[in-house]
Amino acid sequence: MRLIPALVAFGLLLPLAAQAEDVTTWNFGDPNAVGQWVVQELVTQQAEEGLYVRADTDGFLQVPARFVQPFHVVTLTVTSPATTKASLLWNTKGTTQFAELPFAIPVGQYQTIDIVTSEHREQNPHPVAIGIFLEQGTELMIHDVAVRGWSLSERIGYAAKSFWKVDEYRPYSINFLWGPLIAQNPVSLQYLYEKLPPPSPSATRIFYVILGIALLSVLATWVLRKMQSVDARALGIFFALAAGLWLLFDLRMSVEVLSYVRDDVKAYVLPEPGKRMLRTHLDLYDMLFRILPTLQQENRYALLYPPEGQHYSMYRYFTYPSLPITQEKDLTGITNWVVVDRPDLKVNAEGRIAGSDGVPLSPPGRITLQLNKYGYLFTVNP
Amino acid sequence: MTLLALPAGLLLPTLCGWLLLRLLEGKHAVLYRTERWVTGCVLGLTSTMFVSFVLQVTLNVPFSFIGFGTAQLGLAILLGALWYAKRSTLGPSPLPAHSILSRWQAIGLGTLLTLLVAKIVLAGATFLILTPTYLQDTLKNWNLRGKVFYETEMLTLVMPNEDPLVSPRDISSYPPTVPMIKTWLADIAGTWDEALVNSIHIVWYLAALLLLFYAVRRYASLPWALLGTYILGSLPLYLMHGTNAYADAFVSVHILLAISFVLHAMRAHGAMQRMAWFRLAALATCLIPLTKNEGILVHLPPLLLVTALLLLGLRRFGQISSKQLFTAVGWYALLGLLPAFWLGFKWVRGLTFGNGKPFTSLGFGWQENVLYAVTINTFAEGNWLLLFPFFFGLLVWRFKTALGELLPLTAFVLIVYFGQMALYLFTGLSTEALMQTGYARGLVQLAPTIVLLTTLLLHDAWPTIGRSFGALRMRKAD
Repeated sequence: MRLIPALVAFGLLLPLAAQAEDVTTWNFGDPNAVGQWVVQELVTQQAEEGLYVRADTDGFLQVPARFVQPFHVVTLTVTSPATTKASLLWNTKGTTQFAELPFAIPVGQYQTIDIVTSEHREQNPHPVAIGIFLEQGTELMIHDVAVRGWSLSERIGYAAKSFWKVDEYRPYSINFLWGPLIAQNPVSLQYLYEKLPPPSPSATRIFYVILGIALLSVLATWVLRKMQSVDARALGIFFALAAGLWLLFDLRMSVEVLSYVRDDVKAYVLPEPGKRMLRTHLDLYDMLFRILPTLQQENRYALLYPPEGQHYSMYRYFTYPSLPITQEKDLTGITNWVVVDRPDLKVNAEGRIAGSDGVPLSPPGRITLQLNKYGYLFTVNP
Repeated sequence: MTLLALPAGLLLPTLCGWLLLRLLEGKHAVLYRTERWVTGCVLGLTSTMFVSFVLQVTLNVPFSFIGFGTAQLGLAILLGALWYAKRSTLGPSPLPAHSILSRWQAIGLGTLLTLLVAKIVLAGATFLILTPTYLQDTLKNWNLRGKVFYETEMLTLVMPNEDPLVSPRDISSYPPTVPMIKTWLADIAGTWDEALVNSIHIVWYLAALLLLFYAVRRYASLPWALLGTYILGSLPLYLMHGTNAYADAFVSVHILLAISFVLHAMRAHGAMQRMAWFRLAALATCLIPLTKNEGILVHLPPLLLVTALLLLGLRRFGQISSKQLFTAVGWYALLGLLPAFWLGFKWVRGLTFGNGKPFTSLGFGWQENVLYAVTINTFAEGNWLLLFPFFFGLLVWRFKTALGELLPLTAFVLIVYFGQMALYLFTGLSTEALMQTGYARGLVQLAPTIVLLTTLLLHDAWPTIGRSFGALRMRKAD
């Protein structure tokens, strides 16, 4: 009799194993592959390494799609002389409208761009055509386009891996923790917490489905017993599942908090001063603590930092009672100048800190301590 | 070695707190011994800082080692003298009902709590002691103000490099208790040390765990008290607040004390014990406005409302006499002078009463997407594990208990929670929910109280749950 459940299980599991990653690739160096694509309003030129495309006006490339399996990621390999924007297009069955999914094209050669189509609710896994929309002024070389899909068993495997993949300690971690997420392909898994808010769904959905089914079972017994009592075993299963899921969730989140500890110890506590990195602030603290005694020798110092940076409150707190001065009009008479994350500021031939427009900001002096590539302590000549 | 200033700095405030509690309890002691020391530490710190604040703004007593030390020593001597004079009339502390763990309870809860302690030690040591201050609110508020107080030795309202007219209306409008405690610790050490001034935050977190343990223990056996402690300790976002230099765990432990004392007052067996609980509740309640601005607007009114309704209810059902009712009100009025002084100071110095913009400037109207953001934060992130579905589920399932013997807790939690929700749903404060900034902090402040309520409701439901587990075991045996 035990053979029957085993056969049922085998039958249920068979489709999981039957499929594997499904990839359809168009190599744009191959004229036959390019020939499948319809080009609208774009200037193109076939080359051995790919298809050169120039958009004098807005235009697109489009290919009829006959994907047997659902696809989850579209991967483009391109070479672009400039950062630009584009959109992935696909039209859904029965409509003539194209859905658009914007993405950025980075500058550089053979850049790989992964677009996770399955993260978008409007996505149709069986499109009849896909395409690439390019804005006017875009110029790039498309090397290849690949459409990738994964089988159910593979997706479950990635989901299991993503459950245990944790976020980093970030400034928002004091307000909320994303918690476990469910990614169903390697691209989503790789970038799980990098795009905010994370596009992958929360694993708590699975918890609620499990608990919901268990609770419905309890309620079903209640209804079957004419609302007089519930089945104790069904209730027991519900509470056992609730306790088990709590412990599992606790374990998962403990792993996350302890990973923050591990990262801090490895990157900040154990390294020597000068090599310390702290969370999203990287080497900011390390730089600050190296120059702190110098800054505190005077009651004020100049602080030149990027406008979007969090440097000011940090410097103000740690160097107090010595204070950072940031307004250009107040910078006269200051001996110590701290330059952080400002690649636009250089020391010119006269020994003054000057901006990219050449306008000097400081009196003549010299860099007394190079902190990192774009950070240094500059001391004004006596 | 600098960290030794932490226990040294806790010594006198804890002693003052202990004496104050012992005197308020009077002839009928109601707190367990350890519970009194822990409560004394929490309320003693806040009380002694308030005394130093009053001395600073009235007599210009500096925020120095001598200034703080004199205030604390003076208070300890005064309270000590009163205690000495009354010591023969003060009754013995009660003991928790005898309870032991079964073998499997010891193994299960022992494992969970050992892992919990390891997690707290590692996270606390790393985030508070081994790494520098990282979070913006700490850099711009709690620690900066403490450091400014330390350097200037006075209640400076203008933060460095800030407009003297605008600055006081910003973070200086927050109660100065947390920054002052940091200043006191730095005064003992003789230097502003990051690890030292941040280490105080773990004290409040551990206090919340211990006080929750004793609050549950009052109504349930040892395994339940340990389970409640585990539940609170397992909440990831509360752990983050407990092991980082933020002030919301500090607020949360004051709220837990105030509302749980009201609950204990309702459920006390004797009239004298009930009055002792009300006196303790009056102290804890009146210290809440000295923790954070939310204390004044969000927590104090519901606390006073719940307490007032309880007192009237007890009087109506003949559980207390009119004299006792007026005595309780008198204690609240007397101890209400503490927050009244702080509010008066705010008013005189033109400080704000809320955390940001006045409510009148926030506009009124339905705020899109707030419900979605709140649902995500409460149910679909890693902040609270599965606490809230279980909490709301238990509230519905055990509604008779929730609205009966646990009514003060239920009423307070629901008023505060839905009061905050109304602000997010209908005013410009919605950004706090949409950006997931203020909403979760509100829950952090309520977390120990919600866990107390959840644990007691779970305890109430245990006969049914236990039977269902029993049925499962029987099935397995079949």
